[in-house]
Amino acid sequence: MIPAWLSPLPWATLAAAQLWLLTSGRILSYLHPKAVSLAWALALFCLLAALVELWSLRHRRQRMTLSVAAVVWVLPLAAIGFVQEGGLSHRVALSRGLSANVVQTAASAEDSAREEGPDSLGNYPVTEDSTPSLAAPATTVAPLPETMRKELPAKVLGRLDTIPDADFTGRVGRIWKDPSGWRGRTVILTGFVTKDETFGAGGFFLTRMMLSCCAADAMPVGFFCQPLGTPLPEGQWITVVAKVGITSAQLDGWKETRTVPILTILSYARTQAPENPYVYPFSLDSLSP
Amino acid sequence: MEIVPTMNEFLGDAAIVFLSLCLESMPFVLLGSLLSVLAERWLTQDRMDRFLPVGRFAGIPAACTLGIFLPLCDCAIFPVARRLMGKGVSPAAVATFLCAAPILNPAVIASTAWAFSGTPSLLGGRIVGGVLVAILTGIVMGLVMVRPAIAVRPVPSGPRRLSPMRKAGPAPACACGHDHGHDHGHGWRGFPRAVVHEFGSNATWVIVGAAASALVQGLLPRTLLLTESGSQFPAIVGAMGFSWLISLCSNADAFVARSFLGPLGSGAAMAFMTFGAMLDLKNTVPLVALFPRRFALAFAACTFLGCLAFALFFQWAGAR
Repeated sequence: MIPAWLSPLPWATLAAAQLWLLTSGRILSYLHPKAVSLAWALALFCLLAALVELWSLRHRRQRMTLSVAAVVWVLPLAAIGFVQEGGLSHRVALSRGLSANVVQTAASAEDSAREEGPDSLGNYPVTEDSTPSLAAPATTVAPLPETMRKELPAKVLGRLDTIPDADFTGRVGRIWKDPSGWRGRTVILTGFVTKDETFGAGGFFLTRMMLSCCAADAMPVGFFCQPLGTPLPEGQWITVVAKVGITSAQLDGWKETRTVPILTILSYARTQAPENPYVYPFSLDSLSP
Repeated sequence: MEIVPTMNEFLGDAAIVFLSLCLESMPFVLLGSLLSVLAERWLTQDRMDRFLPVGRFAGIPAACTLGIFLPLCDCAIFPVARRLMGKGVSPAAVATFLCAAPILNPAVIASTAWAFSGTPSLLGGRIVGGVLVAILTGIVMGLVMVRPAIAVRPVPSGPRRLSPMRKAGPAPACACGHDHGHDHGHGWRGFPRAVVHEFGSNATWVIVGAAASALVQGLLPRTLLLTESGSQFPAIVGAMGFSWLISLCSNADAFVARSFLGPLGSGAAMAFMTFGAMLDLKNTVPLVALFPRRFALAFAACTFLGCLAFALFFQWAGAR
């Protein structure tokens, strides 16, 4: 038995936790931006529920039974304490099917016929652009660190194709769709390192998790990368300037190898995870008024 | 591939998945709870007879098309279905509604069309398959559940139908999930408290389901279930098992299904989209907890077999 006046407390606590997630921007670690308005509605409801419970205390007995089910409501609050910065880890990327036998990393794959890429990692329905340029509005890509700027020749710096977070999947999708067409172009993007023995010795996948609705449906997208001189730890976030090449890879479950893009990194810098670590299957620019 | 996460990483990832499932589904559970209480107070005998004809199978067509007009995903369906069953709607119609609504939902159709923009057969297949499985499940449930199935705790007030389906049903109690023998009040005065308690009752079980799903996802690599083999049967069953475990919203599952369209085939993608929308771990917990056990078991068996059969047919038809 617990005092009846405690009954509004779970609702009030849940409302406070949700409002904290919403106002701090941490809600984007869990939900697609389009679903945030629903989370506001839910927080408001929890607040109203607390008020309703408070109001109904007038007719309530002094003490009430604490059901086992009520304990369940502690779980979401407890879970917040376990969440780490940077969103889902590289291990989730692997467990969600990021596995591929990169069987050939030589440039001779140039002769491969242009094939449609695999239905994962980078090949998504994208709005077709008449001009194959990635250089258009870069919104949220990390600024090029000074150390990288010094490392790179002016010729490269002048022809950088930016892959911004706001249109990450759209632009990555275009490269996966036509890897040979993008061969030789230099791109700049941010992601985290995911390693697997199937990527070849020293190779890794520069990964972002693409979120369609909530973090439960997040899928890995990005590019295979050639080995670096100094190996990077798994899960490390980096901003890279890299040249697009092509290779052949047999993705997890595929019977045959296909031509896929692979990055040769010209320069990189370790970075912190972005405030919003996820990317989305459409351009966030298109949401702007 | 070796995936042995440390405890911190495992809990961190599981916590994100768990919270995201909760945050994503709860607004829809709230919507379903709101509709459930509205149905309790607004659905009179006359209105129910008009929309859902009385009879073991008579309500199936209406229940099937109800999904088009009620834009509810799988999270929002079960409070409404539970209430309809409590009001005396036949198990056949309720089962049909549970199957059809998450697939005929306009938002689900739109997201599927977008995800499979180059392959309209998947969109058409999902709609046709969903309707066929829903009708089949309804018919089978009508045959199996010949005796009244109202063991759910319906409502203290409001009219109940006098059909043969619920003559021997146990006396209804409060639907708020509390055994405290109270009444939320008649009319609109007790409406807010009824909604709060209805939501609390339903959401509790969704939280349990989401927690189970998050833990299982962390422990079980997707590749364990979704590995290509020579035969389509294990690929389709694996896709169904995967869709049940990860408990995705039917609004977003098409994007994930697309990722293994190539490796596993169109039959597996279809199985993932049809079965996952009708039944997943997150919703199985409330289904078992809030509905009669016999109904839950029969419903799960029917949807599984129906979706499996349709996916095999879809794969076979596509290969020809």
